[in-house]
Amino acid sequence: MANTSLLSLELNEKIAAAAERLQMSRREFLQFCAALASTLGLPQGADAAVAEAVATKKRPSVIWLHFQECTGCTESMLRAEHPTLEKLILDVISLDYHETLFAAAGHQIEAARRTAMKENAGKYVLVVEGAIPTKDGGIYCKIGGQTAIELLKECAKDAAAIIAIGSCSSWGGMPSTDPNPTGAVGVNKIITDKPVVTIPGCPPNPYNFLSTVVHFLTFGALPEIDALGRPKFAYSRLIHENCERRAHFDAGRFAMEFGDEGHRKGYCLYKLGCKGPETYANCPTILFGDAGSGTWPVGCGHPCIGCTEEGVGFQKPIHMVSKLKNIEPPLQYPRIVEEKGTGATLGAAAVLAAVAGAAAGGGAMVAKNLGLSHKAAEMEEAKKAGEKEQV
Amino acid sequence: MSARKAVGPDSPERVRPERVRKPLYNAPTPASAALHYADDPTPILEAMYRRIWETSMHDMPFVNSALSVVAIGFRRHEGDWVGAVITPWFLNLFVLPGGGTLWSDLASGDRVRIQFPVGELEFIADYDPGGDIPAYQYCPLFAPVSQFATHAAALAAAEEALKALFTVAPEAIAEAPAMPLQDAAVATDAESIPSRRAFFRGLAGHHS
Repeated sequence: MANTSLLSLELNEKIAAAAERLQMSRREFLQFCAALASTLGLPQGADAAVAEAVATKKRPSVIWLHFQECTGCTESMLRAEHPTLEKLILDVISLDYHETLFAAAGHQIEAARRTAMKENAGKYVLVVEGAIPTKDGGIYCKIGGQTAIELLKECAKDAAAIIAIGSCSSWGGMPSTDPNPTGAVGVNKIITDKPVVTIPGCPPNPYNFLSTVVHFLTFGALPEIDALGRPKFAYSRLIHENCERRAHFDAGRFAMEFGDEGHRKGYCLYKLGCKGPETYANCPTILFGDAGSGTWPVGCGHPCIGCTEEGVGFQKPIHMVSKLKNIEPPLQYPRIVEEKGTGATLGAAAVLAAVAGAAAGGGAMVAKNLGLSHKAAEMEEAKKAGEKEQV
Repeated sequence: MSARKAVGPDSPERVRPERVRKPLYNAPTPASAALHYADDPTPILEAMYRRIWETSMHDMPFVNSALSVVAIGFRRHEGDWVGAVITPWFLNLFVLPGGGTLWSDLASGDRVRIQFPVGELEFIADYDPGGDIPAYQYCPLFAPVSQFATHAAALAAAEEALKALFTVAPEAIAEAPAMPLQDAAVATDAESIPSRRAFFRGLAGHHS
């Protein structure tokens, strides 16, 4: 049984050793684990399990592949402002192959990759950064004589888990922008026989990657994902739902152009093309990246460009007004940052369900209307199951 | 005991969640406590949203012109004003200060959880010192409101929402989620589904 008391761990030797390894105080280390647990939306007590796992579990071997990309995902993780973040990432995983970071090169490193894969067959985590070109037999990206498609298939075969990091490997990202000259696609278009966890973003937040890996380390399984492979703890709510400027939107207070009075007052950026209403990501909650002093695009006055969202980021012009895909209230599932022990607000579920019935004379139709959100989709499922059993 | 729990950063009443990063900028918190409304705020709410509709929202692509601005069912609950507002761009629940225990002074964009008979609901606070109503809190129910064919349909939904708000939720659903056991995260998730289903079934029985 996992330890459920974070405080009781403060004097634990293994925790002390882990904290020392990470050059943190024990208290800082435990606080950090608590923050990760709440980023993951885990209930009270899970923070201790997370701390124990980070301190004691055998680190999973990670093979990290680079294809069509700018290495921004790796950069944003390793050049994090928190001096501890990249240490923690490199501490919770055993990075056995990473082209950017390895001193070795050429056949030497390819041999290292094959050795690591053989030794950890069935147990290693494959992380893919960058899109995979498919046109003309995939010749537009080759490493060590192998095309990206061949390399990806070879590495995915014996992987315990596959994580696509960044929008490029999640759904094609920048390289797939029209006219997509190389036929760039995401990992899940090539690997179709295994689940691929996608962590889109340009770059994605390093905490979302770290939390995903820590979940794997703590519970032996990757976190729950949506239909697009995105971890629900990070991508189940629209930017708009959690936006700090949301009240300005509903009260009709908008910035009309950059530098105008509304913009200086921090009003809503919708009319400047903010894609918050159609983009799923937790930026308002955990902010963007780990550089700068605690901010994110909307927080510093730039509209969200929808970098995580296929069909929005790199596709719609930044100035183009976004589609309002939305349901409210989104509250029946745990929030991304949950007050410990509070759980989901079931009151909201009750109100929404009541309203849904009244709105269209039948819950199913409204649920379908609301089905654009993960929560509504799940609610629809739950209602369907309920209706079936009642008939 | 207070019926509210604020969750945004840096105000005196706040229960601060653990966060990996802290925002640099926070909207200013009100310098003084909000004025209490002695009378039903329906007329000022309607006037405010009619003005917003005419000035900044009427040309938005997502509005539903079949709906008009109306405030519904405002009553005192725990001393504060609670009701619903329909506009062509949202259907929301509202809390306005009436000198009661639901109200707390928060910055624009802060989130606050307020306890009602049906359970806790998350409200978004607004604070605009120059506004017709400088401070109010709202819980978004429908935005956009495209699924309402008529104003009457929206009215019915708002009334249903208010009815639900003041109906005591069955006790069984208020359990905290269980902590996932090691190597058993998936099983735990699966176990939580039946209770949710049971909850919705119960609900369907109550309201359909």
